[in-house]
Amino acid sequence: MNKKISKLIYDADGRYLTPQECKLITDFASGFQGRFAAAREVEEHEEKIVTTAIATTRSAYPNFENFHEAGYSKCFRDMQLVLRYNVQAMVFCDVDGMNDKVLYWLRTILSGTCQTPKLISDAYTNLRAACQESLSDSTFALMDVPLSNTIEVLSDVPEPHVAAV
Amino acid sequence: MISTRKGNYFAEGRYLKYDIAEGTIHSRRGTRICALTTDFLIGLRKAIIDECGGAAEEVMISCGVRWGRAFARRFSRDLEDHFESRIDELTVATLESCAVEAFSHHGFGKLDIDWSRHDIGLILVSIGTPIYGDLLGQADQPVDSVLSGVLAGFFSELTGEDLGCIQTQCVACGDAESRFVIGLSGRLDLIPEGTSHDKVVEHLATSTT
Repeated sequence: MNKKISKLIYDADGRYLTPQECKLITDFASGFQGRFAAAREVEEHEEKIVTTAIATTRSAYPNFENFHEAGYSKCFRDMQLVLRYNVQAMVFCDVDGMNDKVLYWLRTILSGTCQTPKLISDAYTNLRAACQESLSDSTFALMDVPLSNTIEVLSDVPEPHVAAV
Repeated sequence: MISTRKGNYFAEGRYLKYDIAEGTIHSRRGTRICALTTDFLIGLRKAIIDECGGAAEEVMISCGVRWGRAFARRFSRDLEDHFESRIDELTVATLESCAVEAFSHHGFGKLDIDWSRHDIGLILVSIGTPIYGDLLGQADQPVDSVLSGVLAGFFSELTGEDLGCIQTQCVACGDAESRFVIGLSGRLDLIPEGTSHDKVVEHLATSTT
């Protein structure tokens, strides 16, 4: 659930909602049609977006699979998952929820497999760029907030003792 | 980047299910969970100290080990269900990430695992906001005996080895974080009490037993 709405409901315990609070909820709800349409557009272009992002990353990091067996196939599935969570975050305006449901956890995995902050940042910047290339301006504008958050959160890892990239 | 397919098993809003009408909390796999307050935790520790005197430390570690082993067994079952594969088929990185989330979402504290000394058979763990270190505030010696036991039991169960754990730094003693060294029980028994974290690692790196 969107944290702002959840907090609003919590704060409104035992009283009636103010007109401003009602407007906040109405504005949130009225945006669903547009956000659902954006989500459908991302879904239709998912394969192309993720394939493009992986191809761009692979050309910059050709040695990655020397360290990680079938690394880019697995990376494809990771990016697909992250993109889907980004869409959910966009639909429900809940970036914090995405961070808890997947990004903090995935970040620990990426760090544990000796990924460098630069590789992670580049890979997910490529995902963002592929979205910008494939999606309409209005859809990308909605997706940019969670995607930018994704890059920042995932790449916030220490430099590994021995890089595996 | 390692394939995950599914997100964080322990994510907020998914892991715990509250049934207010029944007054219960269950994990997503149906394990009954109970939230323990500061008063209970401090009272428990005080009661053990009052009842067991000089043996209190050993009792708390022993409780922790049992708890840690049971926690690891449940952790393994939960993840095997979630990922639809055996626990030993998961990558260490995935296991580590899940362990970090499990400890966080159970309120043990924020786990950070350092595998860099695995070459000498050690797992180094730091925990920000550990239970007792955080609750007790000030102490002359490390106070997270239960957590030491939990870590020993947890990693023993997962690895199939008899591992011990000693606490080398404690937030209650003024350190920035509580730190623990996990290794084979026999090796850790030889470390004198009060040895600094770096000296413990250095000693174990150079010892031949």
